[in-house]
Amino acid sequence: MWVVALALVALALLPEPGFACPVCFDPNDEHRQAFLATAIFMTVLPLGMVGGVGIWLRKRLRRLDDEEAPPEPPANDPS
Amino acid sequence: MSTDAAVMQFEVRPEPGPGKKLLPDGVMGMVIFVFTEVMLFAGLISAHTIVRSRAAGEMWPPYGQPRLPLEETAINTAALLLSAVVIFFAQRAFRRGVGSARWTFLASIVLGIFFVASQGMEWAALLGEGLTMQSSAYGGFFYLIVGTHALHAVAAMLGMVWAWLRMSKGTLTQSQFSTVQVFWYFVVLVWPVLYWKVYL
Repeated sequence: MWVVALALVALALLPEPGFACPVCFDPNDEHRQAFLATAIFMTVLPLGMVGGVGIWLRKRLRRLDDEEAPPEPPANDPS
Repeated sequence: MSTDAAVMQFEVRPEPGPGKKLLPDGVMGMVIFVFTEVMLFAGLISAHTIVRSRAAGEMWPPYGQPRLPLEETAINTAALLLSAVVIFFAQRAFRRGVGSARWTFLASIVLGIFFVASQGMEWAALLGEGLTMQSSAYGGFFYLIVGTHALHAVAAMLGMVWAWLRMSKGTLTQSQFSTVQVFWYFVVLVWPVLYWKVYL
């Protein structure tokens, strides 16, 4: 009996936070799309920035390594 | 199978030396700071996008609110972008030790001051036409976003004037120039996005 009561309470309370999500239930389609677009934008932007700088720093490190590496001797050099 | 063939050959990449830096400290610090500033503007733009989307089917700008001056701001935008190009050449000249770097850098500062001054005049005109922070969400977002950018532009101007004075005295280092340059590039490159989202 208490399980049924708990289920009824849960059914009564849980939809409220669900409907509070404007992305899922906003009847205005443009508004919903704006939420989705900005959520994607705010998620991808920091990852893109950090990733971009990471790749750039890695390339820069390799370039510095290549510049500092001693030149290879010629192939027919007897020494 | 010989022993030599069984041993795999690895090329061991040497660890970076203690004095080896990928970026000067100032530039690295500025890059990290710019990251946080990019996120600030991203948040403002996102909020603006959502509020604007609520007005779907309605007028945007709202009825009775003045229209933003697209053409004048386009000219300001061009001046700002030109300033970034000019500071690029100033940096190249400064790295080569060419004396003209000082005047090229000054030209970049003048273009930046032109942008800030023009935006100030635009604000004065809009305030006169009744667009204020309290007049509507449209006005509130306009002054918040464009005002935040203007604050950054003024801060960058102060930094560039400081750098120019040091350059004139011969005490400016390449690292200091690059640090100021990174911040100016941020101010310049974020503006077209704001223009697109707020003005158009």
